[in-house]
This record gives sequence, C-alpha cells and structure tokens, in this order.
Amino acid sequence: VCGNILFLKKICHKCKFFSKLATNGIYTLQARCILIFILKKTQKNLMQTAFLAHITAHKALIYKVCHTFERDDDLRRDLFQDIVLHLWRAFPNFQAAAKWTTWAYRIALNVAITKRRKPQIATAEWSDTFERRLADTPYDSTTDERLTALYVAINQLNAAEKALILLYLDDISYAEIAEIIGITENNVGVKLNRIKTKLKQMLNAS
Amino acid sequence: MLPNLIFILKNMNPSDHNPLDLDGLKSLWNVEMQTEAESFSDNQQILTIMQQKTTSTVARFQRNLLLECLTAVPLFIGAYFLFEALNKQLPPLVWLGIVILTFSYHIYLYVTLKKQAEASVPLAVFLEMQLAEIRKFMKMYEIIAILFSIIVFFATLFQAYAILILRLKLGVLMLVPQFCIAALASAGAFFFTHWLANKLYGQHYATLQECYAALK
Repeated sequence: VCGNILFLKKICHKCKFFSKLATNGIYTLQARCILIFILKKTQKNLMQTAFLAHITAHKALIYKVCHTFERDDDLRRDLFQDIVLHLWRAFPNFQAAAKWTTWAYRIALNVAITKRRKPQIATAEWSDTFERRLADTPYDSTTDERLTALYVAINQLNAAEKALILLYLDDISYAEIAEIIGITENNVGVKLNRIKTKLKQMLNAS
Repeated sequence: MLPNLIFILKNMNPSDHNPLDLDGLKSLWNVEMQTEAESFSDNQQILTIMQQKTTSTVARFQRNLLLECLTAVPLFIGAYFLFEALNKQLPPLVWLGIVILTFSYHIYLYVTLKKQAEASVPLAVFLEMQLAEIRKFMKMYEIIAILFSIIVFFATLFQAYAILILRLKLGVLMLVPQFCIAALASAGAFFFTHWLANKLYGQHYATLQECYAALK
C-alpha cells in the first residue's frame, strides 16, 4: 500500500496540473487538499482490494464461525455481515507481521460470542431443517449423517466450548488457540480434552 | 475379485472404522465448510456489506449515545426558553456547566466504547472489557432507579400536601394514605427502572458472564 502511495505521489509531482497549482502561491493549499483527497481515496481503494483478497482467501474461516454460532440461515448472514464489518473497520490496524487467521479468528469469535441473540429454536427443529436441506444435495449419506450428528452435538455446547472446538476442528495449533482465546496452552489442552469427551459421549448416544 | 477389492478399499477409509471419531470428522467438516462458504457470498456482496452499519452491542450503545446528544440539544434550548418564559433566570455559568457536564460525560462514554469496538484482542480480554462496560451501564441504571423513585415519592407527597393541607385545609392524618400511595409509586418506579435495565442488559450480561466463567 505504502509503495503504491509513493508511486502516486511521484506521478502527482510530475503532473502539469498539480505542479502549476503548486507553483501558484494562492492555490498551494487547494492543490495539497486535492492531492490528499486523491491519496486518501487511492489508499482506501488499495486497502479495499487488499481486504477483499484476504476475505476471499479466508471466506471459509468466517463461514465456520457463523455456522457454529447460528443455526438459521438469515441469522448466519447477519453474523457474517457483522464479522466482515468489524474486520473491515479493524483492518487499518492490522499489522502485516501478525497472522491473518489469528487476527481474524479473534475478531470473528469476539463478534459472534458478544452478539445479542433471541431465545434459540429447539435443536430437533433445526436438525430437521438441516437434514431436509442435506436431502437435496447429492452427498454420501453416511457422511452427511455423521456431520449432522456432529452439528447437533456442537450446538448443545456453550459459547466458550463452541469456540474451542471450532478452532480444534479447523486444525489450529494449541499455541495459536491460546493466543486467540487468551488462556494458557495447558488450559486449552485440558478444556479441549473435556469437550472432546463430552462430544464423543453425545455422538455415541445419538 | 471386484467385490473383494471394493471391500478392501472401503476398509481403507479410517473414518469408517469409527464412524463418529472426531479426528475422522475433522476433514469432512472442513471440506463441507469450504464448499458451503464458496456459495455463501461473493465479492460484490462483501463490498455492499462494507458500506453498511453494524448491529453489534457496542455499535448500538454508540448510536444511542449520539441520539442522546442530539436530543439533548433541543432539550437544553427548550429548557432555556421555559425558564425565560417563567421569568426564572439561571446564571449563564450554571447553564454552561450543565451543558459541559452532559456532553463531556457522553464524549467520555463514546471514547470508551470506541476502544471497545476494537475487537482484535483475545476473547477472554474482550469478554472482560464487555462485562465491565455493561456493569457500568447497569450501575448507571441503578442510580437512575434510586433517583427516579425518590423524585416520584416526594413529587406525589408534595402534590398531596399542596392539595389536602394547603388548599383544602384538611388534617395531617389525611396524608397517611397519600404517604402509602407515594411509597407504592416510588417502589413501582424503582422496580420498573430495575426491570428495564435487566431487560436491556441483564440477560446479555448473564450470557457473557457464563461464557467468561467457562473460559477461566
């Protein structure tokens, strides 16, 4: 982004229109204002492009959070919108040295967990709609059944447990999970073991 | 030969040994999520989202604060003209003090909330910040509830005193039922404000508290 802005500055310096304005003492301030406006606009456009590239590459990350925390498709879209908006607003503060997934997961989980929700619909009802939706897709039936059972089981966990199991399923390392959640690595291990046992019991019972 | 080969290939799939094994389901889950995410939204939709406003709690608090500031302006102007009409002048410094106090409090809350909106901190820290902020709002409502109930109590009692004692010249004992009514109205005002605060923030606070406790 910085490189592109410097390049643009050079072009503006060479541009006849701006140099004419700049040499004329009365219009120097206006010329600077126009230049700043153009630079800001270009910076915003460049940031938008960079942000879209990141989002397109990691769309599944946001979708996973939405899918884990919301059952209804409309609510998922609402949450998706909120997460994308928060990411976009925080994007100017994103440091290139930081890992995008850690940064994005932090924001996505913070937004998903602290979002206000109406009382949830019954699990059975959701499971039924989900199965109906799956019936229309030409997937392997045993796979879908296992995944449906997993979704129903995850849905019975509390928000903190959902966050942890989501990161575990996405193959995030314990160290990174600890960084995202803000607890120690040992604590992550202990909690994940408990959640896994709980999930296994639920899955076997179903 | 062919049925045997199919049987061997089937047994080679590790997730088929234990169909509900979590590690086996991991890859299936990732594939499913990737496929669904692709069809969930395109770049054009994301660009539209970037222009919209958020519905998060912090953003809602911020919008409410801005609305309060906007409604405070006509209220101050109205109050000023009301005092003028009633020929009850307040020193300009008092007016200035009230205006500065109101707006500086709102600006302080807005800045604090702006810091809250930065959600790139770890989940546990973010929850802690959110809980502290909601506690502040709930405390503010509690103070309002107490003040509101005191105002309701004295206003009801004063009205009864003005009508029964000053205008109708009745005995002081006539104030006893009025006292009971004032106490009831004041309790009602207190519980109503308390209920309102609980309805606005209580359930959300409990949910966040539960999540925070589960993490720690």
